[in-house]
Amino acid sequence: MAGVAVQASSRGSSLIAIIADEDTVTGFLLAGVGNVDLRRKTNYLVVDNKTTVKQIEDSFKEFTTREDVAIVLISQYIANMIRFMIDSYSKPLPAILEIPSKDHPYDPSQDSILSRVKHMFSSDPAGPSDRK
Amino acid sequence: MALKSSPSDQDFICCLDSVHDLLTLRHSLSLLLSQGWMDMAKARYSMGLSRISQPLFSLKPHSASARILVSFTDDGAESSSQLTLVKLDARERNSHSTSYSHTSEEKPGHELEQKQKPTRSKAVPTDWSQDEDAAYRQLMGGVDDSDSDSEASVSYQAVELTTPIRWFGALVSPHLQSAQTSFDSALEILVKMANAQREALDAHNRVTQQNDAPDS
Repeated sequence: MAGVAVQASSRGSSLIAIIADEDTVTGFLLAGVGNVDLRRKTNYLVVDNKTTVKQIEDSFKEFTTREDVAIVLISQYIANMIRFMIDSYSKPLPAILEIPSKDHPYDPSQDSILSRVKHMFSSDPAGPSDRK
Repeated sequence: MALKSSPSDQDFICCLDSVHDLLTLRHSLSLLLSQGWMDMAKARYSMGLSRISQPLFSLKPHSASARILVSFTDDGAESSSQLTLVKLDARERNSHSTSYSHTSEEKPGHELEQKQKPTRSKAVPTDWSQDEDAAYRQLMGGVDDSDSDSEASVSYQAVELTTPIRWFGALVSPHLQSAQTSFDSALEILVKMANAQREALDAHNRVTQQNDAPDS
């Protein structure tokens, strides 16, 4: 356990939440990210072809409002389904990280954070909402 | 004559550096995840499709062994937080969960808070630095904090820790273990990415504020 530094104040340990396809969730569960509380509430959502956009939105909302979640991992293709929610999210914690999936490689032009920063460098006054 | 950079130039450069770090880490993450998915596909091929699937995920209450320690600078703002990955080894988890359950049976209630100093068993590494030890104690609820934190640490220890690879059987394919290693490494990259992302956004916000501020 290298590189651990505790400063004057800290929040205590927090979880990593995942919204991704089965393979990605399985992999991160193997890495020890999975948490099931006494009410059988999990910190992950497996998205398949039967998962509705509403379920994804509800999970995203739940994970980003939980006090014990520090990072939310979401596959980029799933993030594209709820892009408006992700673009409007501005809190520093939990941090939202878009990750590639097995069937959908990562596209930096669609990343919410990178497009915000890219806007700073480009002369185009259009913001992230104008991404196709 | 030495050139002096303005604060906005420094923030701009800081943002560029953070974005560069972020893109480099993303590339590493993609490679690790691809390796992990490949190994998982090989494990499924050798063990069978149904042997590695969602119905096998344990829904028994258990705690995550890979957690994030959030530390703040002196101002305590969330925007200045630093994230650190903390992992509990399986042998450490089992030894510590045993010692805590024994304590809770003997003396329930507020006295449990007094007893929450982790016992050093053989599985606990002894070569930790002071900071790592403090982080581990806090993770296990050994640091005296506010009452709400103590209650949270009690509930955390009441939940069992588990070894996820055992969900898929006692004997698993070596490819599944390789996949676990790849995703372990990917986790470390992701925490670094989260910190780099925060730094890039902070620098971006500072530059934007300076650009929007009226000239004095």
